[in-house]
Amino acid sequence: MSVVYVENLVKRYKEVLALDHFNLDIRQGEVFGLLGPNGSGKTTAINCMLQLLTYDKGTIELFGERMAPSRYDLKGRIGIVPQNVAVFEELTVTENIDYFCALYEKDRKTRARLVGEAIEFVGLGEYVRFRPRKLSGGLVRRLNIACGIAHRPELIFLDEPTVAVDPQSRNAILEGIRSLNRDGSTVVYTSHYMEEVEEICTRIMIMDHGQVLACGTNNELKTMVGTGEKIQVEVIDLPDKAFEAIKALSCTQRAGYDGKTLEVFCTSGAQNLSTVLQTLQQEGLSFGRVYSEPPTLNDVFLELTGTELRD
Amino acid sequence: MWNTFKYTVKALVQEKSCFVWALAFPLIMATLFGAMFANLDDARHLNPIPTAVVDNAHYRNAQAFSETIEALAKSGEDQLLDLFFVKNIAEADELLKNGAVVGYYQIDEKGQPGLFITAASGNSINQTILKNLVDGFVQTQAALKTIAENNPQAFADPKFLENLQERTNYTQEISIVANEASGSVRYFYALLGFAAIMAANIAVIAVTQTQANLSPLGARRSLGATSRTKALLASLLASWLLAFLCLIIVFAYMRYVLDINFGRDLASIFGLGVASFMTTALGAFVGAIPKIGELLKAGILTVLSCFFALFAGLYGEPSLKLADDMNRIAPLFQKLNPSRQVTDLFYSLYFYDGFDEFYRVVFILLAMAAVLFLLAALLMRRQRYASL
Repeated sequence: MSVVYVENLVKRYKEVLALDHFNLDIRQGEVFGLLGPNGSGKTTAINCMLQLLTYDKGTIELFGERMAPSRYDLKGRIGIVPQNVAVFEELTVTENIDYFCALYEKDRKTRARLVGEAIEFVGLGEYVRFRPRKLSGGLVRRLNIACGIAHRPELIFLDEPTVAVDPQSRNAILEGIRSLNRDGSTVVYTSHYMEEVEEICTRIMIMDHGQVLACGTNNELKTMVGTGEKIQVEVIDLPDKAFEAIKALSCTQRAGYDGKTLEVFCTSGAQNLSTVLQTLQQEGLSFGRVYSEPPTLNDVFLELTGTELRD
Repeated sequence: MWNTFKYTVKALVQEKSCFVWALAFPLIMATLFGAMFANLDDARHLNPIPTAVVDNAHYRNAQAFSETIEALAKSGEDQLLDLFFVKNIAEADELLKNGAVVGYYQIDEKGQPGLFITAASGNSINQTILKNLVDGFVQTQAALKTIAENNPQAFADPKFLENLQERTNYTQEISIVANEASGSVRYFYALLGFAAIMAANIAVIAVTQTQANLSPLGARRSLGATSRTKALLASLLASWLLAFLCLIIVFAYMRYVLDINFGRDLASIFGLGVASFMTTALGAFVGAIPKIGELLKAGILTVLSCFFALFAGLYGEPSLKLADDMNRIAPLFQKLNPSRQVTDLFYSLYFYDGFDEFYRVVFILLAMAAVLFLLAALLMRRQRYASL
């Protein structure tokens, strides 16, 4: 069953086309990763799905029903953890979670239980009386998450929830997301941290310029791009001639050299490593450590979205 | 809705910026006004004039004069003189020099009273009163002497004697206002008008925190499963309550600490409820203006408050005169000036016997609130935005 279904969504900000016939289909129980460079349209897409933003064209269905601003029944089944921390600076941890939980759950007793569980879930038990300004960045992020998930939503949008948190907090957050998913929630997760997405997402979409570039499982994405193997060789003073010879190899897709390490992206093949090393030996070069690994999601992302700097 | 109301109150109570302008500033200003205008009101109230009398044989012989001034020194509401009896001129001069008395009376050997004052011995009003008193006595005495010399049989007529003792006042003092006019109350009322507009900041913050296009918190709150109208209503109710409490505290401080007369206290409190309703509407409108930050909105409100307060008479005599002139020249502008209307609420209770004028001002404030809420609703009616 599709929990989120978006078809041909078009959104313009005056002259800028933010979403260009964007399509999305997220099934129940998935942890769906939405990847893209800054300004690629991830947050815009989420805000359109949540009916915060108007859009020019397209269909948005949540839980199989047409989404609209006044569909409070559907909103009640959704949890949102926004990119920017959005909590009351003047309220304590408990009060903040209780406030947001009350937007969904009216019964006081049930709410008290849910708030307690959310506090335990994000590990803020020692800080219940603290106000956000007294909490560290990581703890505030956890509070931000607790406010979004306390009412036990069926669908959770997490928009870059691990920005500016330490590795311990990040691990706790990721484990929490897995736990929510195990308990039955469908998760839509956006992040710039590829290893996180690789770690927790069952399906991943890479988007740029408001368009879907690729969508599939981690392995499917890696297969989609031509890179079969990434070879790294430590070489001191690589002459231009040798570098050109490496680039000219039939298995080489692209290559780079930073003065210390030669990086070669190869097509799939069994002899890639020996071919590269033989070429270096033929050029009379000695080399240090050698690494060979399949492409990472980061490689896939850069190959699809390009390596030029973004805003 | 109750939860939103409860937590909005809790959150807003901790917004220091609101209460600096809506509460602390008016309290400080009221204290300063209290100190400044205490003397102004004293000047309007006649205190017994400290006067020395040289109590010698001549004074005791001048029975008519001594009885007259001693009658004027009898304690009570009408007490005009506070007499200090001294044995000789040297002692009287000493008191005059020390500033203990405004002047002193001395009867000369011919039985004629004289007044002795110095330029530094008190304010000119008190000196004038002492002079008029002795002038009046001397003139009456001279008139009686003339009548006795020219028409002594007149004293045989009991009606003449009766008329002689009777002072006829050809003017009658009536009050056209409910309370005695006070020079200072207008400033306190204008200060409440100023505080009312500043209290709009509370609603500005409340509205900003509910609108998706104005803050990340507003965006998140807009995504909840509670209708936006309910959430907004709860926030505005919380703002109204806090604005009302701020004004009530300022009012109570003026009324019970500074002893400012508001005419009718219960009606004043009702008036504050209406004023805070209007100010909440103003805050909702300013708060709903898109694409400008909370700080700029607070700045706009401060400028508006100061501007409106100028025409409500907050800034001293010239401002009071300007307010009165504007009432004559541009009455419509003054009717649209919320600060002036809040000030007028208290005028109407202080100066008028009935409630007609009070109800008229209440109606104007409610009409203002209705228009401002309507404008705010037009700005906030969108549920989705072209951009955030």
